Amino acid sequence: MELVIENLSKTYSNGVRALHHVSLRIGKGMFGLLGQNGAGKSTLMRTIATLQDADQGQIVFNGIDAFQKPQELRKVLGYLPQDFGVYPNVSAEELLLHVADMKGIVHANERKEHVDALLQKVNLWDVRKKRLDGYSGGMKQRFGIAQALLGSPQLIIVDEPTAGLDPAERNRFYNLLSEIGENTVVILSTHIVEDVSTLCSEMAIIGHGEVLLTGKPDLIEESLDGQLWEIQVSKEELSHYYEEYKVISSRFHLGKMLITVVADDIPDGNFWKKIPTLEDAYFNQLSKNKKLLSA
Amino acid sequence: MITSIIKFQLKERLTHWISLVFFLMLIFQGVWYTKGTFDYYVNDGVLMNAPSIFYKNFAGLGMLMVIMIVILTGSFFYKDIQYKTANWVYTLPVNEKKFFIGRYLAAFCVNVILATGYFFGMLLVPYSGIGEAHRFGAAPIGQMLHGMTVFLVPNLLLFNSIIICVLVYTKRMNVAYLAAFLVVVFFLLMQTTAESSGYSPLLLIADPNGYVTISEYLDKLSTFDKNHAYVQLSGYLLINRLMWLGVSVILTVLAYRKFSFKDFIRAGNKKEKSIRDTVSPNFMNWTSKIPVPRLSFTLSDQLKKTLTLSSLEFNNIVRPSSFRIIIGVLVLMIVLQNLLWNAGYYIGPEMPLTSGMTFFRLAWGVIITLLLMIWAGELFFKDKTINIWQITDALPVPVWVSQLSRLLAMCGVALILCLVFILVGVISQIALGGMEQIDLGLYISDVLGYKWGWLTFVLQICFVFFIAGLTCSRYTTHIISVGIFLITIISFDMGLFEQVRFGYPLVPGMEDYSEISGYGIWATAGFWLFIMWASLAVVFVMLGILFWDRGYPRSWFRKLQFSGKQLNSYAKLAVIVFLGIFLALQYYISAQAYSNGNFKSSSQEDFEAADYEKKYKHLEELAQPRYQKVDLELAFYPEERKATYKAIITLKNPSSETIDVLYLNFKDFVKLTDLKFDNQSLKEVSKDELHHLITYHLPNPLSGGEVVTLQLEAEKQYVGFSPSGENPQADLMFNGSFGSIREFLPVIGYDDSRELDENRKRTDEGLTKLLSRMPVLDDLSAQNEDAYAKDAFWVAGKITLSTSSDQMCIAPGKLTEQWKEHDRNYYQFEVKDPAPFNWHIGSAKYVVQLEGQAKSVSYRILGDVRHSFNTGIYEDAIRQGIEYVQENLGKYPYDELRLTEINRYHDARYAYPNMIAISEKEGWVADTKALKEKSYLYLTVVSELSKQWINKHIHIANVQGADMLKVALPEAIALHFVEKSLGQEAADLLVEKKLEIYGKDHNNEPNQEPPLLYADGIDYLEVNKGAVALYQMMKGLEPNLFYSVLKSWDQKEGDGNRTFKSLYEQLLSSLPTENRESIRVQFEEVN
Repeated sequence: MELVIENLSKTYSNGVRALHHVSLRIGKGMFGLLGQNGAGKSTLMRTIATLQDADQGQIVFNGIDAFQKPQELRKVLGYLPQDFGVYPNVSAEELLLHVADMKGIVHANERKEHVDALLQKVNLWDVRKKRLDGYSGGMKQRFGIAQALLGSPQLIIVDEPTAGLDPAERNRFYNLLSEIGENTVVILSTHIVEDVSTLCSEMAIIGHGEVLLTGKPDLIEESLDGQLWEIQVSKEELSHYYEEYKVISSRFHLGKMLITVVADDIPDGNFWKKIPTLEDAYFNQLSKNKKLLSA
Repeated sequence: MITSIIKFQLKERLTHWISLVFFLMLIFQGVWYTKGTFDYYVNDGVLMNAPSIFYKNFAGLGMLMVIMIVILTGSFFYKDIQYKTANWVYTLPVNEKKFFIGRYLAAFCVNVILATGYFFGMLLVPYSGIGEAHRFGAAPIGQMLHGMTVFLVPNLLLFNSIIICVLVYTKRMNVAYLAAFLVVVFFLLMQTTAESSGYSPLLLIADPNGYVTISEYLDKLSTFDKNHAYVQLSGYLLINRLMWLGVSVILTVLAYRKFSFKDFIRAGNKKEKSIRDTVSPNFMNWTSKIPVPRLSFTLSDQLKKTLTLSSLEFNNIVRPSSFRIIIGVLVLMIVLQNLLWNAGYYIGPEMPLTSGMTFFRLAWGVIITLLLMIWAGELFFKDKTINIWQITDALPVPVWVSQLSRLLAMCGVALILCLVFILVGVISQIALGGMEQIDLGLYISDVLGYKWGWLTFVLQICFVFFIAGLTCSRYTTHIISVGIFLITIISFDMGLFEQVRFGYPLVPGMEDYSEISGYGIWATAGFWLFIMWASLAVVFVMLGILFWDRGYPRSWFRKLQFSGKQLNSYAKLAVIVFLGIFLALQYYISAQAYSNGNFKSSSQEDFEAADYEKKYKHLEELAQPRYQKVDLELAFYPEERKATYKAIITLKNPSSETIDVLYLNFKDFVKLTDLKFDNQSLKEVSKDELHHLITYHLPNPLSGGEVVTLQLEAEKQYVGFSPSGENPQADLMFNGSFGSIREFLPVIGYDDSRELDENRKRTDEGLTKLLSRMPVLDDLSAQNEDAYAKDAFWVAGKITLSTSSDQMCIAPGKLTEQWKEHDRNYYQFEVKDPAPFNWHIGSAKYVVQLEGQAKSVSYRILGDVRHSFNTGIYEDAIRQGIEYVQENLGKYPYDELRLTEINRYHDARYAYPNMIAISEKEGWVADTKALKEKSYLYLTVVSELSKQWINKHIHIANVQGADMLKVALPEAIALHFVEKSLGQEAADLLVEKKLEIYGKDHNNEPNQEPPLLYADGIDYLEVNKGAVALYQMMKGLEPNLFYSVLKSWDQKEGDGNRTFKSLYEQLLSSLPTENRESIRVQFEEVN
């Protein structure tokens, strides 16, 4: 079970280059796709989900060419878009039955059984008869997951699923996604590093439509071990540090500004060593990419 | 602050491309509506850019303007909710009341500014090419500005206030749309009610646009005033304007008081529907297992899926409360239409017939179609509108399944709507006591069929489907589909298109249902046109699927490729096949129209009429023989719309000149098989195929006063059908054939009935204007002609008719014999004493509703088997009428009388020897509970009985005033009968109706209204004003004296033809001197 993306490029009619020679091999399990807003994640997700054509390249899942046989790919696909709406005047149960029918579950009994199980799985059972326009953001997102899981898909794409969710809802999502990722290919697109570090066994960082880095999150973290240094600075000093050092990120801690610098050795005695996180690796990649682009 | 808000809004709105589109649309509407209103005024003196036309335009606003107002106005407030900018805009340090005023005024200003496009459109009319230069005067800028001030601006203010007030109170845009829609519906109701039942104070005041009021006001203006006058704000007009301005102000104040940021920000917030989420933050249902289902994607599964998915889509439309509100409003309107406004019969309501119940679909068809088109557009884009498309488009369902399910759902919605309409109709019939009149077959054919029924709606939905696929834009789909629909409807209404085959998805004759003849020839035409449109609809649906953007929009280049994958090769082949069928049917229908001679455009007809006059007017001066006796044998073949006939016609040379050339004018479709002149063949000198005029050289010249016989054998058959709704070809129908005998026998010499009699058309065709539509009083030649047929003396003869076994024949004369032969019915009639040659013959599935004897006259009432509602009244009218005639005028001239029903395509009434024919629209199905309707039925019968007496006694000269004798005199006699028999109130009601019709119609006089003394045969004059004037003269003179003068005039005048003038002079001289002047003014002046 493998999704192979080769040399995928897409430029919009307004000249925006959304994808540029993107190539990825994604196997069973959770795959995190990390990138800033506008990096091209959603374009890539939509293209895999057969909603958009590419200018060039190929997407093949288990031998199914997404461009040649989109209908075949859809039969094994579950997709939760970043932002989606629901029919306001129908209940969750009705809409799930409707989608289940569209997903090819043609036997009414099976359809009912399947939908009931999913409603229980995502904890919407008690409100299954309620109209969807009364659902909260979290409930709607759970509904979204349920519809993506209908038909037991082999390839699941979830685009920014935790955006706008409170910590508790996010926690639920982690649980659910980790469970469904055991036997399927799940691509989790996000700009929240924690999502990837928590859930994914493999990941890629994408920026300006290009794959900047791929690998296992823990190895990516480890690759910076001994190269990250942190220091507390004032706002006035910030520009100086940016000029003098390779600053990859800045953050506030207890009202004080801390910056993270990449260097092979400790820059000076005021810095202290920082244990690398996936977020640091992510910022490091973004920083590299930014310099590359400006050069 | 307010200025700043207005400035920002104006800049933002007016620089948007959609504003330019609206502006250009309104310019177009300005030109387009001007043409339509101009055509309403047939008087050739009214200019195309007359102020009266512009006043009406401004009051009506027009469909495009209303659409613009509805789309724009609410968004001035709702866009902050829609785009969620209210969350920060409403926190700015702005006074919320000033904010309201600013946005309110900005909305109003934008509407007014864009509405100037309408003004400019009207100004551009002279340069638009829709009329010749002489049709235009100087631009009436002052009156136009006045019209804008009095009508357009207040009406815009009213809509502005209604939409904003409703929006502020309900916080729902769709309710605001509905409110605006209801105002339009209300306006249309006022307008249509005024058109069908006349102006009343209620209508004049209640019309929110002031359109009814201004129409009533303008109808009374002279041509000069129509072209120049400013409208005076007084009377009902002033009340109407002030009242609706007041309503606008009240609504504005209410909205102003209600509006607050805290309140309005709740718009779109559905807190009240929120569902409590009871799941604990850390709980996850680990225990549940998700079963693995079996998936199937066979074709049969997809087909089943299409049906099951459509049920959810169907629910998406019918569940919202707005749907139920709209259905409720429609049902209410239909109930009112059925119960109160079904004035199909011209003087009042009809019995609760099914055809009356199904009529609402025509009155409300445009609105219902618009609703369905908008619902369809919304449904097709629902996934995109609510942003679920990324989920649904990624599902393993072919485009055809998801899209067809929506199409089916919309067809289902339309079906439900139509079934509700049927139910409402049936309940209305039961409520009105018309249980027996329920005709489910007609309900199904009308409401579910393609004559603006369910199938028409389905075709329109298919069109929206195609546009949706083509544009993949919700708003563009609405604008294009609704725009094309409205342009189509209005273009036909304005006569820009005449052939229905250019008007998807229309079929001809939808409005011409006759209880007797059904849809007549249009039934066949309708079927073929429907098949044609259905073929196109299949193409629309297929292409709609092919072009539909699944996922992100594709470029036009990719989208429009026929090689797209959303249709397989079989489906693409089907597109080509159905397109081929559509084109083949277009060709076939065109062939039916032209090759079979079933259709001529009105411009072609005008041209031909003018051409005939130009070529043959000189024949008027030539001596030609006249009909003196006719023996006709004619066989109707109704199922083939054919008649074969033989006639022996006795002709007499009325002049002292010798005639050696004979000019015979035949009607279209007549095929002459043999023609002999005193048993000798005639030599054809020339034949004008266009005008069907054949010139013969007589073997033996016909000297003055000489009598000869013309033996004629011919056949007439209508073949094919017409793609236009104009000519029902009513003389030969499947059932209910009825026509003048001259449809079969030729007109001799110059046929002046072919002349154009509207001066505007005459000028257009290069003919001189008519000063009078009839020969003037002192035209000696015309004085010697009979007013009914100038090529005939009074004629006697025998008529033998035969028809199919299920039909009966009618003809003038006494029925002397009737028999059955070869499974056909035969009838022989004889007109012993010569009579005016206004004879008509026919064949229909009649039943004898009643037979009886009145005095020495045996009578028989023939009619449709279902139309016996008023037979008792007709019988009583015959009995009393004969008695009245005998009492006041002298012996009723016939010992046998047939009163016969004819279908609604004909004039109201006919009278000739032994026969009276009355159209079904004139009383057979009238609801005669009220005095007015009952008395009208008496009037019609007695008027025709009187006409028979007059036609027996008076040779009417073919000069001005002839119709005062032919029409007004019998009508006046009948009015007196009604007064005597049913009371003064009954007569007064009829007089009031006549004066109302005259008042309404005389302003549409195409030429110049003549004084009654010189009346020249125009519809509105003699039968209304003429009859009332004579009736009043009769009352002034005392009826006995009136009749005495009439009889003595009849006896004194000798054998020559009579003019009305001579009767008038005798009547006038009999009046008391002090009464003469007022009567003289009535008859000799136009007032």
